[in-house]
Amino acid sequence: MDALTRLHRALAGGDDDDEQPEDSILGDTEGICSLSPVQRVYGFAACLVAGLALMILSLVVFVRPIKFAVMFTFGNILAVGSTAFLIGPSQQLRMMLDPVRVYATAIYGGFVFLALIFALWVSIIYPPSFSLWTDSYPFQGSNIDCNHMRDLCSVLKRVFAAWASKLPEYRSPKYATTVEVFELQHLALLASHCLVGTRRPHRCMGKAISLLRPPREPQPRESEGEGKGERGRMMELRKRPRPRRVDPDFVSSPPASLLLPPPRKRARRQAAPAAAPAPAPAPARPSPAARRRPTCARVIIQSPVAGLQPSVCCPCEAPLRACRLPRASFLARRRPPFDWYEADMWTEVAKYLFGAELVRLSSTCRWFRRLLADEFIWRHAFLRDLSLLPAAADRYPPRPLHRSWRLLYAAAFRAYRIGGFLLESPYMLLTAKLAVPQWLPPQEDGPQIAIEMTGACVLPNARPGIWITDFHLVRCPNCTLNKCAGVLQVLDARHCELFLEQGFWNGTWEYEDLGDHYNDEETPTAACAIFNASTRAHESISCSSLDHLAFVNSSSLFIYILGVLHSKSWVRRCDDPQPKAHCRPYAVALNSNLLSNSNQGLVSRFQAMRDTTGNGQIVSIRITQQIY
Amino acid sequence: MASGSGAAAAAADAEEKESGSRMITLTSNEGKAFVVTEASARQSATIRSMVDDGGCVDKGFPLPNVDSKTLARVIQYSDEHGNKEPHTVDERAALAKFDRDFIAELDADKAFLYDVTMAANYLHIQGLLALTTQCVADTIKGKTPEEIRTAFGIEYDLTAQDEKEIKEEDTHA
Repeated sequence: MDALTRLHRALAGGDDDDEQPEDSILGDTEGICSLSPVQRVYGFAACLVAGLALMILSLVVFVRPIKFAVMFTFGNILAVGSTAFLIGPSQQLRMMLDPVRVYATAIYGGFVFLALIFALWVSIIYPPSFSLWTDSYPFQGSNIDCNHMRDLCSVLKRVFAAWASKLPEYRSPKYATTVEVFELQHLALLASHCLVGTRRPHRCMGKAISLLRPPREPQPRESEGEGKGERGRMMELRKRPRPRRVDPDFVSSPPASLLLPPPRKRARRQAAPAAAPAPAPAPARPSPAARRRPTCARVIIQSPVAGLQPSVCCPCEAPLRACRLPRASFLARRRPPFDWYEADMWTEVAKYLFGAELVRLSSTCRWFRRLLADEFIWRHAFLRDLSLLPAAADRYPPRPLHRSWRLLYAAAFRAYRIGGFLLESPYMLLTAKLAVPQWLPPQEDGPQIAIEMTGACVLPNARPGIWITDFHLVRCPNCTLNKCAGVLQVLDARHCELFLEQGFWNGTWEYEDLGDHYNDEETPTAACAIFNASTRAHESISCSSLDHLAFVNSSSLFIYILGVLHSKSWVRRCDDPQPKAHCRPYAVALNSNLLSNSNQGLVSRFQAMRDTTGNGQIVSIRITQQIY
Repeated sequence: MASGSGAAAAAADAEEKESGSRMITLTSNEGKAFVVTEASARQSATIRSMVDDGGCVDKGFPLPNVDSKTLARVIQYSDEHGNKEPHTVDERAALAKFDRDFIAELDADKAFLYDVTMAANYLHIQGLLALTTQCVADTIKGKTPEEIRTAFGIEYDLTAQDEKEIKEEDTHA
């Protein structure tokens, strides 16, 4: 599993252990809850809002310990309990008592309870002048005489003493009681974070416990001590067994009638298409959801194997929709019921699909539509189709792409592309010769002089990013020379985001000439190339002695060409007149062999297109070569 | 004393690693134990990291997400790839042929292919994962959405609005 998938996974928000409880979320609730999903949502919302309101109100009456504690406590209970509406009380209880959370739950519940007890008890039985961190023990004389209560109190005393020493002015009795209660609630909230933070329950819990624990006590958690062996066990713990779904489809297709009293909803669904043609025999216990919104969309795959149930797999007739349970669509990450829907797996599969196939797959159903809208899938496809993947994975983006990779893919691949290359710095080297220039004039003179004299130039202001290249052969429109074959060879390189620009498509951005180079000797080939002229590109081709300035040196440039482009792979045999282009992650080159004895030279025209709306960077290069 | 025992343990570790013939026990979710060579087990990045951490080697690895049938097939693959280092052209060709036969067999049974894919994903066996996902991708290639739905038994659940959006995207793209 490579980084892409893992990233996608992380974005999708799930480790294996995270997905575990979600498997059954909303899944087992039909039996225990007779409310409709809408009612459940209302219940949830009402509870949550009431809880939060109580908590806020409790802050208003902060100075009255009893009111504060009662309101805050009930606010907490309401807020936590609100989710019971969503997933059902038993499920909620089960999730709260899950082994990874049971400590957090215990701490949370304990403190909510304690806060209430303290507020009522301390304020009623003991006069308000009482303060916890005086040496008089609060429960001496009362009928509560438990040792662990004593321990707990000593712990709490330490916490409060540390706090109180910072705020001497608040040591008046009235404030003290309030503050104790508030501290307790604070701890309760901390514990509640443990409850929520399932990702790293142990770490959160460790924090909470370390707050509660006097330093001399031995560690309640010994995982640090045991080291590697413990790590192995932790791994086991984190990768808890996902209950294997035994799917009847795989074994055999049981008769629909056997499945009608639905043990699980999949089985019921299985029965649905079979029951569809005839007036369906009413299920033994019609699910409460069956009567509701038939328009709800849900992802269903009935069988992973098409051949097993041909009658089911007819996509044209919608199977009995009424039998489908409406899903609460507010949960963005609802989990599809069938195993064949596995985001990990399909992300892997998508790496092997081209854009058109991705589009077709995403138009099969909603689940795929959502999955394949993922930017990382499209980014992967984009880079792969430009043959940039291994190089680009660690180097791109030099700056983030603020647009959709999907749109970019669609725009860039309208026509055939020969590939792309990466440009990290604004320096780009253009050349129209295989005979490498001995030197280049200084850049201050502008590209025109360099092109005229040497047939090559370095552009200092190209836009960094991914450049896409393609080439065409164009019939020369205005060439009247008899010698001319009438064909122009054009190498285009465009920054990929140019394809998303309005100015590019409606033609307001135009190419401007950089310069022309005339070669008046007979040449065997017409070749041109565009290089990434940054130093990092040098490093990547194992010519470690090269530096940026070495471009003026012909031999090093020759090495560069050889190293970057593997000239064998882009120069055809000398009797083949077809042009051949080649793309590497740092350069692109085009070469065609000219028929001998038919030319007296070559003219190469360099053109560039600037981003006129932005900062004037060069976003497109065109090198046109024509037999002269 | 402590350093002495530590050095001894390290030496023992090194010796074990050198031998490379350690056997590792993998247990499927049905409790069935499979004994494989370490080289074979190292095909899986998950197991490799656990072995390198030094934990669990003697106790064996429980694989709660993999059933016996799938595990047997996965081990068949990792044995082939882990125990033999392809050096000659012939060996490589033999391995490629093994891969082809392996995937052709799986391709016939899509549900099992799915199980093997998930196991490869869980165990991080990159080669096997690439092989199986490529197979699924090949199934999709060149098919219309209708045909894909038929092939995988996907239920059509797009609303009219979705369809409209898809059409818009198509014309836009």
